[in-house]
Amino acid sequence: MAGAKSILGAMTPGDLAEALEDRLREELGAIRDPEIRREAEQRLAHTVNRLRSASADQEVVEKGPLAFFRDLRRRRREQAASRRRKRTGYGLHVDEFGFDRAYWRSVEPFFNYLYSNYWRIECTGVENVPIEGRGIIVANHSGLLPWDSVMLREAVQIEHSAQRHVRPLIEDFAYTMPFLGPFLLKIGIARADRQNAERLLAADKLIATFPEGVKGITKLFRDRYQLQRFGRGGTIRLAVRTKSPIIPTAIIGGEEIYPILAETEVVGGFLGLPKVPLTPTFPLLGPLGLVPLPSKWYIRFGTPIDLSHLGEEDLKDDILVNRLNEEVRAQVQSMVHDLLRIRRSAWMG
Amino acid sequence: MPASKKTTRKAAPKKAAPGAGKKTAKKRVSAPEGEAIAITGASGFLGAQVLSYLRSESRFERVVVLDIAKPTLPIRKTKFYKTDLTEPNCDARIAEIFEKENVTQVVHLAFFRNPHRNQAYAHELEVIGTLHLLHACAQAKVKKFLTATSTFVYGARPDNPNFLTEAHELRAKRSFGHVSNKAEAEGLIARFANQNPDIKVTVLRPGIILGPRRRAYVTSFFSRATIPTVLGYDPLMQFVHEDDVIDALVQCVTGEQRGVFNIVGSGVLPLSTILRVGGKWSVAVPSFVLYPSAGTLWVSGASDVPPEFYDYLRYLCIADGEKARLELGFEPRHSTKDTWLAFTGEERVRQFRAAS
Repeated sequence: MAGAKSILGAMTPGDLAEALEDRLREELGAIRDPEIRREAEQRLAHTVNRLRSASADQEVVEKGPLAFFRDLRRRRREQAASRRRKRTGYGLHVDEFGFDRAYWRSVEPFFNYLYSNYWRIECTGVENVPIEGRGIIVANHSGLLPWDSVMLREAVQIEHSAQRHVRPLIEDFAYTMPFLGPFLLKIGIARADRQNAERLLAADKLIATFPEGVKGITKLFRDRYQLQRFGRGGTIRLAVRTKSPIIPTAIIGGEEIYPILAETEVVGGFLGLPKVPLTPTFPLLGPLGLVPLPSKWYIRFGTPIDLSHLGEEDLKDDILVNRLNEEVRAQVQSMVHDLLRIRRSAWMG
Repeated sequence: MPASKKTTRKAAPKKAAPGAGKKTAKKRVSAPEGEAIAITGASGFLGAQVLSYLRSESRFERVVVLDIAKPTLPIRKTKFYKTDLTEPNCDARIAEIFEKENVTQVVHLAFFRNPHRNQAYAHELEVIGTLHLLHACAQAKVKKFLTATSTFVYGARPDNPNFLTEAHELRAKRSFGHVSNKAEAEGLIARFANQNPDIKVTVLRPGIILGPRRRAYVTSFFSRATIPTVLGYDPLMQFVHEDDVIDALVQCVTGEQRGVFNIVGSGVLPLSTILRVGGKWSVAVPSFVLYPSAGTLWVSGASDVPPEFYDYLRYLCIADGEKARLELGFEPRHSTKDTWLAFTGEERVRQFRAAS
């Protein structure tokens, strides 16, 4: 593990905990005996928890008369670590979905800027996101390109004490696009697919789904914040099968970054987009028109919905599944309306 | 098929009468002692390896080799029958051979290792040949049928799940004959397995097989110093070591499993990482340039790689090896990374030898 050594210096403790956990889980998979396996899993969870709590927000503050020099030395060390990382290159340590932590570290400052300064995101209710174990964040969807899924990731990364990596799942069309698809995979965004979701949850990851799907991101500007149908209950089935809590989440501001005035399916297949949208800047300004507008964003995580009382036989009841699905949708919709009441102006906040 | 009970049978029937395949205690006396295993495609890489393993396997008295040309390996216990699977009536003949030699297991590895330029002939051998062999297996009531295709049969599609399980439908492109033939053959095999529930049918789907010894179009593609890739795409790749595939095959020859199994190495790596680690130059070509030019090179015979192969450097086609792990107990000894490093290392040694 010579490569690992060089990369460790560039990781935050939270990242390290998560990487270790991934690695150990792989090892656990090899244990045949279910009894031993269960015990090993419990101990692993315990260890990871300790690591997490130790690492939560470790802001190094040097004290004393020599603080300046200590600070300097620490920063020099960090720079050396990052140089080492650049030398070893990215892509050596990817998880099974192609998520590359080192690469995420390198692009995160940009998303950080978008989160804090460009869209000035205000996030509430982050304590509803579980500190460990599986969970499904269900959010409304907007904005053509998956900016909202990246910002949701950032919200949990920045605001949450465990600094967990949310793994958003998004529509297929993004993966047919050159550059965009590989980029999304590298920063840990997977394709929305039942098998992918189940696999991630089985590894006790936190995923985010946008049940509105393509209908959500191609909403017309005049229909903004009117949630579209939530698929066909796939998220509910997923939650029941994997025994995961659902965290309903509302995201405000994504609808204004590309105000879609009209859309056409005439040029179908162009850019791999399901429909070709017409916004004030696109396709007028070409690729420049894809620069999102600086609206004011709010993100709110709602109270988790627990479906663990339901079992496989309840899923045969399609009417029940549909009702639950609609309930989740209604909850997200009401949270969206609440946030819209808070926000006085779409641009100033 | 109505099975009439035959009490007397010639040791070597000239023609397999209907119902002659019924195995009874009586028949076993007149048939040659002990069980035999038949193998097709024994001159290929995997076939040769399985054949050399069968030499030391004591369960089978004889190894029946069905091939156009005699295998180069001098192996005791083998009986060679010159067989062309594309012959219209070879199924009856093969059934006869199976009856005569008391074949209880068939290992079918007669697939092309490289994409064949004659699509029609390739289809005839890989699909119709498989069909003929299956007819013979049903007629002769063999107990086990084992074959190996490829994970390529799933097809590389942007809407693939990250890990394809065995239950996923096979969506390989029709135009990529080398792969779609295997997918079609798998369809025939699946139907055969349904119709003959007492025959244990096993299909292995190995990923991209690399290793120090195997030579095929994929290995020659990856052993180039400069590798064309599709601009803007960087899929995760998955390799499996040749030794792991041989192990899995051998395990299935002796095992009692049935069903379809992905045989893949552990771990995945992005294509870009793989090329960098292997010390390769990669040239990213836009897809609208790459596909036509690759097509031209392929048609003109300048390259061994059909343009459809580049789909696999563009979209995900990664298989989930969990089922093989649980049901076969198959654990790959080599990860994707180790396989790739072993392969490129061997390539360098070879170049060094050639140069000195």
